[in-house]
Amino acid sequence: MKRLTGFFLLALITWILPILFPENYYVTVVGLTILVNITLAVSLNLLMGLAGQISLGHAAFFGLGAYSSAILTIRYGLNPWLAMLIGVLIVFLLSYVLSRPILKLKGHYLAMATLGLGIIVHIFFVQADEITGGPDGITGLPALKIFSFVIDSDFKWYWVLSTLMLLSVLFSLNITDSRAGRALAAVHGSEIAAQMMGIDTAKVKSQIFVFSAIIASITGSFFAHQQDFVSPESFSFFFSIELVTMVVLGGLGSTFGAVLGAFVLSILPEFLVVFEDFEVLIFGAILMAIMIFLPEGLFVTLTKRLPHLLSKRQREVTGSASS
Amino acid sequence: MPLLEVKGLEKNFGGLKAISGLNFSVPEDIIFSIIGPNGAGKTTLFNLLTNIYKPTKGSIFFLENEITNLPPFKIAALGITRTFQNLQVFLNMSAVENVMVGCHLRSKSGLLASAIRLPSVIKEEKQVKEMALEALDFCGLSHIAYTEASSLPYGILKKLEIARALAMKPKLLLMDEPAAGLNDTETMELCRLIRQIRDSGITVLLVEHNMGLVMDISDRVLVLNYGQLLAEGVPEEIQKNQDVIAAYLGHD
Repeated sequence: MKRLTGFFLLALITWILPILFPENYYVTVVGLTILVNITLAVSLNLLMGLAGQISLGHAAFFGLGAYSSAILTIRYGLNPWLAMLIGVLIVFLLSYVLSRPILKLKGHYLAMATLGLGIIVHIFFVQADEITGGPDGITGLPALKIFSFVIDSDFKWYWVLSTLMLLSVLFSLNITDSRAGRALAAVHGSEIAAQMMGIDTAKVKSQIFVFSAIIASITGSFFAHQQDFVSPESFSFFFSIELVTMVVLGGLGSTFGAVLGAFVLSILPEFLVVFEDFEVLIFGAILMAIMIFLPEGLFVTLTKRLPHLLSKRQREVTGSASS
Repeated sequence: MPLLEVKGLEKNFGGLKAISGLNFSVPEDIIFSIIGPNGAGKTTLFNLLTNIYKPTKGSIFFLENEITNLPPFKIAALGITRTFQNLQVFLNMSAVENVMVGCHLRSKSGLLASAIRLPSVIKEEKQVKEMALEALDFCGLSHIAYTEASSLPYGILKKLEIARALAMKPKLLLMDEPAAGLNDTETMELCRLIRQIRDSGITVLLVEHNMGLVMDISDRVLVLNYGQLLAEGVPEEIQKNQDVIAAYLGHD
């Protein structure tokens, strides 16, 4: 199965790390954040990279999933899985109703509309304090159980979140390489030509918007249980921008690009901590440098240039051997 | 029964009458060319036929079904497709993927089935790829099937757009200036290809400036001038028509 080689490699790396380093801070603590960010970036890439529809409000759906789980389990005592499902339903309805009018917009206007959506949802989290707990958020979610197996340690969470991440990567790869994915890429390439090929462009755009929102919502529910705490801060406009940056940094339109982008952007701050006050400054400079020198994104550039460089070196080696 | 029938078609852009009072019909299985000086309304007519522009007045029938106000993707579903004057190839895909998009209506896997890659999806993928390769082969493009569209030269992209349209198995193919920008050899190949398309049972509606090409391959020719029908007939009639000569060369 050549098509999935990259996927199996990713699965291998993801699952071997906690076995080799079960107590490592970067694997089981930072690792969880990385897994969540990868899942979200991959889902956003389906909308942005594949279908070419920018969204600056992806954190809203992530937040709605998280808050649904927190509110429904704590205030209404619902089963965590049922709460998660209701979260998905809410996000489904909201994203479906919004998708048609929003996705009629293009470019800057679409960016503005999704930005507005993100900000409104964030304001709701902050202001509706009787339901959401306001700026302080809500704490004390019940533990998530898979049958009788309680997920109560970072190590166990690693397995749950990595499975979720790998599923989203697999779905994304499958979609990219299918009729549905080609229809979306066609919308990205030329909407008018896509229509002349019989593609209902409004429908396919709406479908992928809802699909990526639902993945974000499910990720949000798991995130809420794992953190045992939700607050508006995690779902702000800035996080939406960060997700967009991950997708663009890795390489727009490439599933593994989104994976790499999310990984780099999540782990970089950990290493920049030593610079203390200059952390953000250096972080920004690195992003700028990558975008200037690798405009197609990290992953895309690396996979394109690496074979080229390797073959060049090989030629030099064989060339010098023969002379 | 005509394949396509246009009745009293009119399109105004503000005060400009781009098309006015246009009536014509296209019989099946022929090459039907639309010519006229620059700005005569040829591309506008194509955009009206595929409902990219909404007509101000009049109606369009395809196999006796009214298609005047159908969205483009539904018009495509009835069996009409087109190529574009300014290429609209999907540059973010390989050549074969472009043509596979053309098979959209001949396959049916949805988003969720594709996400979990059901066995039916895998089977359909195979079929779609075969259909696409067949269409590429028909246009003589087998050798570049797996090349990225963004790295193909202009002449090949023009053919690729035709292959993509043919993969739909349309009944009517609208071609907007397919020979523009091609050299003589490429134009001759194009001639042969258009004839092959007609012979395979697809009616071709052609907008073209290359008069040699038009007079050579057309079964019927319609001349537009200032958005109105100037003449219609077989190429020999059109070549002798005084109004047409005047429109192209000016009056004495």
